[in-house]
Amino acid sequence: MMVNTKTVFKFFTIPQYQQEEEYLSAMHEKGWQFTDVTFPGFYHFRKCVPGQAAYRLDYNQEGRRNKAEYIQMFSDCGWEYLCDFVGYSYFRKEGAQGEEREEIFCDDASRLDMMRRVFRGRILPLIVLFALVICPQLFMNTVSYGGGDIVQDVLSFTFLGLAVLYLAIFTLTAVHFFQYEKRVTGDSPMVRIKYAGVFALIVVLAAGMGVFFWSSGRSAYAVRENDTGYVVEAERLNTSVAREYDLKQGDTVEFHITELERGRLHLSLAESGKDPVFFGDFYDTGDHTVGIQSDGHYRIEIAGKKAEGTFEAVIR
Amino acid sequence: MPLDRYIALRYYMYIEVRYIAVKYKETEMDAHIRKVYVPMTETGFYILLCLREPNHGYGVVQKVREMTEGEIVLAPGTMYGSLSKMEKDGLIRFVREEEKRKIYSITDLGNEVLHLEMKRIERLYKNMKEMR
Repeated sequence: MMVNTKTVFKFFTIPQYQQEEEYLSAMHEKGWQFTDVTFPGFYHFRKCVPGQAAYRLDYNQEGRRNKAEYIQMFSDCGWEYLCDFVGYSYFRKEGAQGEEREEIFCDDASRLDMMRRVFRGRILPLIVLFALVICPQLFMNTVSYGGGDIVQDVLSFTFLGLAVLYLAIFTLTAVHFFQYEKRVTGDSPMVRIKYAGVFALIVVLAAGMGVFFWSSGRSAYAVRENDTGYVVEAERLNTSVAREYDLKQGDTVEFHITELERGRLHLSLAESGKDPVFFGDFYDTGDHTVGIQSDGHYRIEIAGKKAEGTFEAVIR
Repeated sequence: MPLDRYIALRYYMYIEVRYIAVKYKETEMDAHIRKVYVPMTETGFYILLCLREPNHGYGVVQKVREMTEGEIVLAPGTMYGSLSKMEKDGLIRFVREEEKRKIYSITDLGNEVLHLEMKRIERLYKNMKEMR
């Protein structure tokens, strides 16, 4: 049996509709006629005679509301309506492409109008999502309000990835807009200033996120040693602080978690080269007392994962 | 003052104020539209020029192609966007629908804007001729 249809998964972000158009034309030239696209990006093709065809995308909510009339306008002008996908409408015009590209927009002003519709319909919701969900979630999971377990690490990286993707989409959109707006307004200084501001904001956001993410993995703390043990005061403890002591049977070691604003704390007490006699992970303030059963050289360890607070080890 | 006359006066004043407010808002809006549409794109100009007689979008496309001897072919995305924008801004109005094609006609405001643009182009043309 001959294969007459095929489906290809392809991902184009919102402002990449021109790349999408070129891709569909290239497929047509190879003998695959585009029929439909389904969520989240499965492009369906049918076998056809290889040839030239122009594919174009429009974004017009009003057109989608008055569909019959909208499609009629395009078909009158020789454009075949194919399908709708996430707000975009797909059109095709077959036949040899002459010197000039076949376009559904004949001036930059109306092309810019379409981009403004895309901005309002698709990019604006993303900006809201970015500001109200992605950024707060990235912040909370990265500084580890929940205690710094593995789930939060995964979430932190996921939201970082999403933030990078969003910023990439915003950058692409801004570049695209800048090109057209420059042409439509005849390269006015106002447009340059506006987009300089937009790009500066994106760079500041990206740099801020990078620095924030990088610094969240580092430690900032002070250790004070005294006659009976040591105290760790941490803004962010991501490492282990250990001290060694000679202890006798009958001594006790007290761990005081005086303060633990956020993050996780790991405490342990072990004789050199042996299994620990006490250890555990802690997410909250509290005191833990351990009695020493035999004389020896012991190692007391206070380790943290994004832990903020005051932690103390006291020997009595 | 008798109560009924007082009420009548208040009512009259209310209507007067409302009238001034609406009038002000209208002129304000029209001024804005004149500013946005003059100078206008070639597409916009041809749409208004052709819609002095009721016609649908594709009719305008055909007429413009004839007028310019195939030099200018208006594209459907541009036409659809421009027509709905102009209708929203009150330059043209929807008349009726025929075989899934919306027929539009120019409004008074549209005519006013068209004449402003014509004057601008006439001046442009005159100056061009003089300088040549």
